Amino acid sequence: MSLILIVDDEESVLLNLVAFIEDEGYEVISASDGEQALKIIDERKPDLGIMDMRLPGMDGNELIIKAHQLHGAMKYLVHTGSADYILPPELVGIGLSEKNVFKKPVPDMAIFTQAIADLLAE
Amino acid sequence: MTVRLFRMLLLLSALLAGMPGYAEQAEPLVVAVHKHFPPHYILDETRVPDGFAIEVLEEIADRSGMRLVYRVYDDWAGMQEALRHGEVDLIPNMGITPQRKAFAAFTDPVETFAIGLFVRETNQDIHGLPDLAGIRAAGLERNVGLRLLKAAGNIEVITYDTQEHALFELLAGDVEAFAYPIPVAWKSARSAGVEDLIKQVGPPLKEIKRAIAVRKGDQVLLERLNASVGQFVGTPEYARIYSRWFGAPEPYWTVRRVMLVGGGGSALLLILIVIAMAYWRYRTTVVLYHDLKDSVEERDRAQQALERLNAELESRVDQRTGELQKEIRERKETEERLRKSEQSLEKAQQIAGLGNWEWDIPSGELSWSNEIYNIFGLDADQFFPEYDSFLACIHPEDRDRVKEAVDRALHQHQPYLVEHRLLRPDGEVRYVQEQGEVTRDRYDTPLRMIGIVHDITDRKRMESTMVQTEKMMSVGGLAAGMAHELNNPLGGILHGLQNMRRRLSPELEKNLEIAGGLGLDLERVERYLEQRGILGFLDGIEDAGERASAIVRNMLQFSRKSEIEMEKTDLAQLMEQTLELAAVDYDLKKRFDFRKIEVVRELEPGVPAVSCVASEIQQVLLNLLRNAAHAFSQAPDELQTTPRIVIRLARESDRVVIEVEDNGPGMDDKTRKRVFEPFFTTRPPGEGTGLGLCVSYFIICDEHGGEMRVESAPGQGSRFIIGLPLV
Repeated sequence: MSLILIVDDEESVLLNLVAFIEDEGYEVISASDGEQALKIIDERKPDLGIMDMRLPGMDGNELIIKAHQLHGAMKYLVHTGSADYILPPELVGIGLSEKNVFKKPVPDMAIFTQAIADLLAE
Repeated sequence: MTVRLFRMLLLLSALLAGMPGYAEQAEPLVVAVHKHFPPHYILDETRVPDGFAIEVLEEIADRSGMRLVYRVYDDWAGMQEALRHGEVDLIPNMGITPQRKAFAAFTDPVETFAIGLFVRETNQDIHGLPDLAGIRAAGLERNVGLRLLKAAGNIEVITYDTQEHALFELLAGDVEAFAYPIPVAWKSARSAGVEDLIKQVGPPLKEIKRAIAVRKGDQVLLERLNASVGQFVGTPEYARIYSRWFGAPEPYWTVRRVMLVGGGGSALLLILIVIAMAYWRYRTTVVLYHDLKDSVEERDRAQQALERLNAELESRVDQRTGELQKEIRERKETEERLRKSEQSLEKAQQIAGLGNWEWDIPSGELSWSNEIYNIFGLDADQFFPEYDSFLACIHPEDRDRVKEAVDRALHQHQPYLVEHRLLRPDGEVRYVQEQGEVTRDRYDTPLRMIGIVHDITDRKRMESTMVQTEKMMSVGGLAAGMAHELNNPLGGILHGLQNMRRRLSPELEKNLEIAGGLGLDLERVERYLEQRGILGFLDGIEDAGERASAIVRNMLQFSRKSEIEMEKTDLAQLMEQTLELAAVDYDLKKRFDFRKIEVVRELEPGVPAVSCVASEIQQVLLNLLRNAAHAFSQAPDELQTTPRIVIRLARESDRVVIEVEDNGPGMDDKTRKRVFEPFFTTRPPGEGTGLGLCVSYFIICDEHGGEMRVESAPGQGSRFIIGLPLV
């Protein structure tokens, strides 16, 4: 069973995503900031992370770069509230593209499960 | 040096036949003559020298067997110079003076005359030279008369170049006296027919003798000439020549002579007298004949002199007329310059929208420049500006403020500077700024006020547009920030709903598993939820959440710079596509069938493509069409006309202007002013977000650097005007 990490500082987002993705049959673990997330990544090596960008402390971009150093095989979905979010070159450098980016609010969470399935199948 | 007129005239004098000794002379004598010194020297019509001096000389030369050649000079100085240098042999009839004796030798006198003082016949004040102190008197250049006047020392001497001129000025009153050789002066006066208008006063100023001058030392020539001078002078022939050139001589028979002769009493004397009488009769007849001939000639000369005088008068009149014409011309030029300057001032005022006024406070008279009438929307022919009629033009709400400003300027020495509105007769409101200054008398009483009126309506509108834009931008920024913050809670609501629905569903394995563990029948739970309307509530929450999220999406557009590159877009084509889209628009159909609307296209051909984001401009156009359609659905039945939308596209210098105009019910002032504000809507709650025009405004003004405004009035329809820059 694949392990999915969800990082968001907004409790209602975490609650719903965790519930929905669990219901899809994945093992889900959550963190509400970057530090906590890195610790989990180091310990549990999740297969995929759904990362909020605006986090207290380190932001989502930095988190992904550091996570990639810890665990190179991990896949990512960028989950951002900024309408004008642009993927930074560092993330493009480790293989992320527009298809990895989802802008809030995602109207239907089934979109995530589809994207997770696609990424893990790569 | 005097310019000499070199004109050689050859005149062969007749040689006396059979007089040996005279024939020996081969070379002709060169005679210097003045070109115009009447009656001594004149040039006849063929420019041959003539005159008293010439005729006398020729008689003398004739008697001496001499041949003569004439050389004509401009003036006496030239003649004397020529004699001195041996260029000529003699000068006939030159006045004998000690100075001239220094370089010339003179024959016996050929003519004796006196210089007299002439005044107007009517003059009773001047009786001689002593009466001329401080008075203007005339003389001729280089003439003895002139020297005599100057020698007096206290006379204001005016110099003329011809006798006619001097006589004319004497008669004209320009001078009071004229000193000149008596016979010549009379001759000249007679020629001009003015001898009755002048008189000679006082004793002669000086007696002068004229003689033929030869070079000093030329004794041979002098003696030869003298021999003939003695023979000729005093003969009847001489008298005839004299009378011809100086007019009638004094009668030979004076009372004194008759008395002398009568004293003899002898028969011989009587016989002699009879013979003399007979001879005299004969001479008189001859003289009369010549006189008659002379008088005809003289009349002709008088005629000529008169013509000269007339010509002079005419030339004076011409000169004065010329001066007057010049004055008139200059005045006209000045007037023309003034008119042009007034014209350009008026044009400048028109361009600036600025007029000037002047208020005469005691009389209450107020004068306006043309531009004020234009600004006030008044007809200059039908409006009489006064302080009260001026106040009446002011917007009623501003009137008191203007009055106060005027009072403060007049009575408290405060600068007159006031901004106010005008209410034009056609109902248009315009903004003006007035500025003025008060002029006072020394008791500090205001006399006049001078000032300007500046139409600042355009500036005011621009300012209000800028305020509007600024307001919109800050509202936009706020909305974008809010949208951001709202996204997460909205996500919580919508995603929470999605989870609730799924976890209540009997279709999910895990649900059944957990429900089974609790002894629940999920299908019955679902029926319960349905019967209690709980599922309906969930639908309601979802509906509300989705609407909120649509609003947030719209609000986010305020901050989002389009990621799509601008492309050159043919707006006419885009407008057509948008009209097609509007015709099939579902939302639109729900309220108003777009196909019932008459669409008029006024698209200027050849409008250049505009750099823009086509989808966004289309969104704006669609929004405007939807609003128009909505306006038609709102129109009260009695106002219902054929719904018509006019779409215009035109180029205006460096921008393209799009207009969408409807003939719907229009907007009142309040609505029109707020129409671009976010969340402002005239639709019932739930039917519109109030963001459509606001978003449109941002797309045009913020993202495309264009402008967007609306013109509308109740019952007049609405016209939205969009300007997009071409660069």
